[in-house]
Amino acid sequence: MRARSAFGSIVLALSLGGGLALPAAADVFEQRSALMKEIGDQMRGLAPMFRGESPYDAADVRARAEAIAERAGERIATLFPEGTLRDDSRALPTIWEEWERFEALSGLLEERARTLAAAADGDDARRAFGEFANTCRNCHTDFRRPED
Amino acid sequence: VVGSLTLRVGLLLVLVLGVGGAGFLMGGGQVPPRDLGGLAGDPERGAYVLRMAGCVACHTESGGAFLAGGAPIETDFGRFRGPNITPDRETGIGGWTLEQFSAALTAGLGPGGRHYYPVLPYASYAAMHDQDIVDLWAYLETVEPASAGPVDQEVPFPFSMRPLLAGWKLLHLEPGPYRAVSGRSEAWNRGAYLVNGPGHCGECHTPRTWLGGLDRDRHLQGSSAGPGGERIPPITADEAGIGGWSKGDLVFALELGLMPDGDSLGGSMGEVVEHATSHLTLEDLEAIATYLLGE
Repeated sequence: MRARSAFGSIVLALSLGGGLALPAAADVFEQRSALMKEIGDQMRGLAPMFRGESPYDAADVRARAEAIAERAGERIATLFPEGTLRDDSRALPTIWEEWERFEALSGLLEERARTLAAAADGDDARRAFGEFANTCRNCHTDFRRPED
Repeated sequence: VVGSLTLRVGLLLVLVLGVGGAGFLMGGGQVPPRDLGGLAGDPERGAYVLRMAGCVACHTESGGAFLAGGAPIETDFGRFRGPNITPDRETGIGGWTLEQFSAALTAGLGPGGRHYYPVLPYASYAAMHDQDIVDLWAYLETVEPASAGPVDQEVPFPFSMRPLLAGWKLLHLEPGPYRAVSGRSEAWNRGAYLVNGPGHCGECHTPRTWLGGLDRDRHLQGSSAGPGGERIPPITADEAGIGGWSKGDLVFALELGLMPDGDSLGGSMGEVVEHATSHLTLEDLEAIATYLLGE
């Protein structure tokens, strides 16, 4: 598993177009903003299906949930190295003060995205979606500054 | 600059003392007590009213005993803490009667007639229905009693003078309960009740006047002075607010914290979702959306 995830990181780094090794602080800020937007875009695609506003497509739900899972967990944690706060960043210093909890929530986000992917065909999909969304909110409540 | 500041503070003092004094002399803020004698309380319904009224976020500190007191709230008028509302007889409200509880919620009066600061949103709770108050009380009596230290509110002069709150109530406290608006649907009226009564949305989303009352001409238009100085967005049904949202968008925001753009709510609204709105029925969330979107 470890070898596979290391391989995955290299492939991912290459596919990002040269963002190899440790990126500079400014890049990290841009990267995590982009990552969060990508997760948000998937959520925007999922929401109408769980409200019955667009036809429910289990394959699409699974694909979106998996796309989120790939961007959660360790991927989030590595994009929040200490000392990368900026004035225009809404990240709170509590991230680094309570790093273990922050990291655990990133892990939980991935876990719940995988649960949603696995539940996409079943009756539990709506509940799994709700629990996933709650994880986004829990982290944003404790670790993100409200908009100015 | 110093001179003008002194002048402003002096002017504020004269006005506050004047309004407060007038209120005090006129027996202001004396909201008539509710006659709740004939009503039986249902604790199970009361557990739901607790969520409707958003009590938990201010009366429970993270990691602390449930309802045994909250974290400090910074406001323009002082630093406040939600006290212990468990039935502990020494430090909670275990020695209270239903009538005293009702007076606290709807008239901002503590046992013995002491005025509460409107950080307890009694100007909103004043609209609560009798049955909701009775049920909430029945529930609170079943909560595990927890002991907590006394709560000192840190309020600088002149607001430290509680009798002045009689004047504040004269200006800002409208006795309830909520009366349904005819010509509007049942859902709209339920939503209006939830938003403006127990839900007390306007306590943060409506800007305040210099006296700390809700500026009713700017209902739900957002505020730059939310708790802890947080900027609170407008939730009016127009371009500035949530005019472009669908009812479903609003339900997901209140139930899950999920925003229409895929982002997630956080900050103090994240706490509101966690402790209050996520516990509400779909029917009530839809009623809130119906009212806020003006449908």
